[in-house]
Amino acid sequence: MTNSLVNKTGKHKNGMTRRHRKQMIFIFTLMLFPIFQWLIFWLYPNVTNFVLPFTTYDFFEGKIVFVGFENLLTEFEKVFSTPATRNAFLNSWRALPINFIILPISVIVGYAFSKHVPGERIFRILFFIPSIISTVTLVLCFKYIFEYAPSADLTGPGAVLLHKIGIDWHGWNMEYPQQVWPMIYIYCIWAGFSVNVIMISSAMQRIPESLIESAKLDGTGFWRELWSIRIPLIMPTISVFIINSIMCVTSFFLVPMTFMTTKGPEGIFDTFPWLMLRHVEENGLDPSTMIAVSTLGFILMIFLTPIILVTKAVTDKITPDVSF
Amino acid sequence: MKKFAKKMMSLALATVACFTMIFATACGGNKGSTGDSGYDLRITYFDGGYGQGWITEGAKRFEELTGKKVGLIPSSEFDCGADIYLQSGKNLSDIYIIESSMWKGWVKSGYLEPLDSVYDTEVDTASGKQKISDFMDQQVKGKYYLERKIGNGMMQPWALPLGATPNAMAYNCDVLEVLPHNGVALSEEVVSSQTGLWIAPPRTVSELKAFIDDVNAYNATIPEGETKYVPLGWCGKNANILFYAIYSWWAQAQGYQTSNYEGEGSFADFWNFGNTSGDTRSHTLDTRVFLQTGLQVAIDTLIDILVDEDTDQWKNTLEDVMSISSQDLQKTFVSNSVKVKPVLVFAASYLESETIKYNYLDSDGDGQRDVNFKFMPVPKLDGYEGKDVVYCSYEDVMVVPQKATNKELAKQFLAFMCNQDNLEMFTKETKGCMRPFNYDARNIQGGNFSEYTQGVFDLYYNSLHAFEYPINCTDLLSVSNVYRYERPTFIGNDIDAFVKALKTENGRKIMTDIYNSINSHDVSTWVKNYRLTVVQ
Amino acid sequence: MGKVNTKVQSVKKRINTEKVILIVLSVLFSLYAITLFFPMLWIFYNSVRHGSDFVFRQWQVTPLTIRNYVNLFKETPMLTMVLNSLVLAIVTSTFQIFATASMAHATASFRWRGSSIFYFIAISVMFIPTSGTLGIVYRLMSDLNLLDLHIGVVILASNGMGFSFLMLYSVYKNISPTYAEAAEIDGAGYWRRFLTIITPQAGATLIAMWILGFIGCWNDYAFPKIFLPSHKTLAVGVYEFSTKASQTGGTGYPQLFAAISISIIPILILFLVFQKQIMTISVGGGIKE
Repeated sequence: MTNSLVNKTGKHKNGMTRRHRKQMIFIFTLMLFPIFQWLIFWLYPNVTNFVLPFTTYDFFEGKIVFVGFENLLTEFEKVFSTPATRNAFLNSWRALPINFIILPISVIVGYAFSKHVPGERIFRILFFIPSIISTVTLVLCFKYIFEYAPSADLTGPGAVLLHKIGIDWHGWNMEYPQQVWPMIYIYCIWAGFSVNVIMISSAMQRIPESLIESAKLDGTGFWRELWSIRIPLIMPTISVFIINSIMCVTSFFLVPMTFMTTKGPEGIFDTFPWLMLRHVEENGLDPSTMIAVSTLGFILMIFLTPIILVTKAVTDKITPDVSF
Repeated sequence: MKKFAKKMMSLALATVACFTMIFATACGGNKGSTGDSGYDLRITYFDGGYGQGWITEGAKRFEELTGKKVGLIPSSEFDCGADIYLQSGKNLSDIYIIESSMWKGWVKSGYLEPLDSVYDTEVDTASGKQKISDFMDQQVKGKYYLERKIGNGMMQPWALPLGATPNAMAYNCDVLEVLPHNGVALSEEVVSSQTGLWIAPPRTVSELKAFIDDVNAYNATIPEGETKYVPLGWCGKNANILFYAIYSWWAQAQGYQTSNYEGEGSFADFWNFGNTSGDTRSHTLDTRVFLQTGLQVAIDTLIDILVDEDTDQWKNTLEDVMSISSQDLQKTFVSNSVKVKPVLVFAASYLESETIKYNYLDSDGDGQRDVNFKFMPVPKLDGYEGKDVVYCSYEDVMVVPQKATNKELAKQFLAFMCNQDNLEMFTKETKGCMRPFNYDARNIQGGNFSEYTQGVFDLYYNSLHAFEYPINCTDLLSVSNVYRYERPTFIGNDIDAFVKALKTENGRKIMTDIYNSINSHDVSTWVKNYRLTVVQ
Repeated sequence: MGKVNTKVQSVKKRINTEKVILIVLSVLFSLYAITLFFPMLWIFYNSVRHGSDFVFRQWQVTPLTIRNYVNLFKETPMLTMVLNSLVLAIVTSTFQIFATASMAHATASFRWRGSSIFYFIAISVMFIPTSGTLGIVYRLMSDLNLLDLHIGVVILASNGMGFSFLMLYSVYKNISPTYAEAAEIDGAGYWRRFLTIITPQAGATLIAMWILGFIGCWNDYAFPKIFLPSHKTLAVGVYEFSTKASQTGGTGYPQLFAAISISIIPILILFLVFQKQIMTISVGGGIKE
């Protein structure tokens, strides 16, 4: 067998072998599409997103002009002074506590899986299903179970049940946000916790059996084992989950939108991401829309970024320094 | 075997993927790309509301006249989804017929063709040839004028109005005929002194309140299991139906064109938002317009009828009114398939044709409509002596894209449709919808209009039309940019919040406290965008 | 001896307690599973009933019908929506894995200066939070003439970065270079080696990623709604049906339920057939930082 590589080897001016050059061309071609896509659809929008909140659109001249903090301050002020904007802002954060209720549930369920709860195999498959069904569909399934609209001749079995147990459920009625939001929370938990169970249980399963055995021999009980051993050791996974949950604030719109279809009086069901979506749907081609949407995102990020950084610092601190 | 099946599945998926990739890259074309070959004129229209009869007939007549082929493309969206085509210029129709006010943004972005030549075209009318701009309802004409670029000082028309739809109320004739009146004696014109029954719908607010009390009393006598009645139906999901009453009472109280309250301006003046400048680069904004007394009177009148002061709950209307849509309301009014029916409803002129479209009229299929109903004006405020005031909408328009291929033919078609015989054809085909031109629909031969529609005509031609436009402003340049480009209502965009406030507040509080313009309107954005000077 | 006995007894007691807890949890999980499936079953059941039965005889046993499904396809653009969803999902997920595999192969399978920079770029999108780019992207798509085109959404959604990249990176890193080297000696070029030798070895992961990508695209609401307004997909269509259903009164709901069932059932079938692959890669392995 001739070693054809030897013949091909020959140093060129810049020290690159011919083979190496061919390799680099191939690598370059491979990365062409992904990198171009990244440049155009990630880097450019995000850099622009940083700049636009400091501009405004001049209708008379028909162009974008730089105005410093003026635009940002005006919109920021609306968060405090205008009920509609204030409600939309506050509602966006509702996603956060929901996720902090989901987390312990996911952990307990994941723990039960790693302890081979009876029926584990079936439960693993069943619990995965909410994550593969579209949010819109899942919300509608939940919504119509609890629908109560006597004028439209519609009462779902869930509404019947609630009435039977004495709860005065008025349906998905914009006049009763104090009823609707708790139901939305219940939906989020019902549909949301199972998504993370698989990840958590497999992270737990990677913990060496020996650690668990020695803990058992030391007299650690079921819950103690979870709290003192498993959770600290899967902290990296949990911290990723926490960060992702915090990021959910930037995309929390589809659930309230599908339930209520209307933002309600003074935006009682509105959220910032929904507001952004409506801006683009109604007037997407107007340059002033770009600025409005960027500004809303910027305001969210002003609050989100320190929260993420603090969370990361805290979880890093309480993550035990072990490797296995 | 499993491995083989999986391999086959992968192979099948790969094949499908290849085909669909080719398919997707090749097509991805826009609606209207097929079927446009061979047409000289393409018209995309919103397929709702007016139906297809008028445009089909219009296209046919145009083809006969000019020999040019007209292609009609229905769209399910109010604005025909035209945004994208207008921007790209690809697959553009020559005319868009829309039920949306988006066109004003299109003018700003340069997507539309000005229609000066159309407005100057002479058309055939019953009194000879007239320019379209003279033949049009002069009060309404100004709505369609904009500057191509804000501040250039050149007002041009960019759209032609489609329909003129009066909005008022309707009443259930069957119930009225058997409704006994209790209480203070009323005029012979509405309650017969012999039978003690109502013979005509209430004409004033106090007669309306008496009517409401009578319906409630009548309803109490109806045994369980039979159809029950409520006095007045409206829909919480499409709550701008309340404007039908508010605008009417507001104009009556404030003064339609001349103000009854010194320093406040009239109803018509409101829609100029306090602008005093005739130069669009220096418009002013006077937010005191939102404090008009007449508006508060109108709101209070409505609250008096619809809200129970003691419990802050809705009264005299359907249960769960906030979850009722306008279609639900129509159904409850005209169809016997519901358990609770309103005797009066707020209704537009197209109530009848829509209920025909949705098959609500004859729910038991016996060939006769379930309910006999007629159009009626909103009852006048007590003490108001003038003509009925009717809230009319003129928001549906026809526009021509600037990049359309057949602009001249498109304009010719638009002008053609303004000939009086085509206007009359429009009214006939739409079963009674008028266009805002100076012709009398009551004189149309062979119209076969229903009683309901004749009631619509009667009211339309004998009333003052209240609508959103400063009709007192004769100089187009001094119509406020806020009106032209924003078209705000008196409460901003959050009608749900307004409805919620009706339950607990009064008119004064709503307009001066909660809904003073600073909070409910985007005044800071208007000031910035249109370089307004705020007077107050 | 006594001490050992005590310890054994206490361990036994702990094991029994654990068993009891697990049984209780198992019962709770079963109840949850029932609540998970009851709505879907209820919706499916009512989708095969007449509209008037649904309204007036909701709790009685009534004859079944497929009329709602027939009407759905006859009166609404349901078929177009299903086809749009199918085309979009298949093409997008194919482009996605192609982009991701390319990026992963370029950075993982070769050693070259700068590979770490591109690796960092690829994973950075996961860590940098962003919000508010929707208006900019919309304008960008419009300026690039990609608005309202299938291929536009495909390109927009096909980024080769993020979590999928990370996963494929470690898969490619673990592929033994022996086969590729042998093929190289036999004269196979880079592309040949990439497509016919390396990629099949990552086959299981790629297929699972493709399926997950397919499911994600099939279910996506936001991108098709905003960037493909004329060609509605199933998720967008179902949402619109739901907003319009109340306008027909209660009798219109079974047809809406038929639409909902159609958007669930194919995904469920796909999942049940390929559940092993999907769940294996969804594990993710947890992140160790």
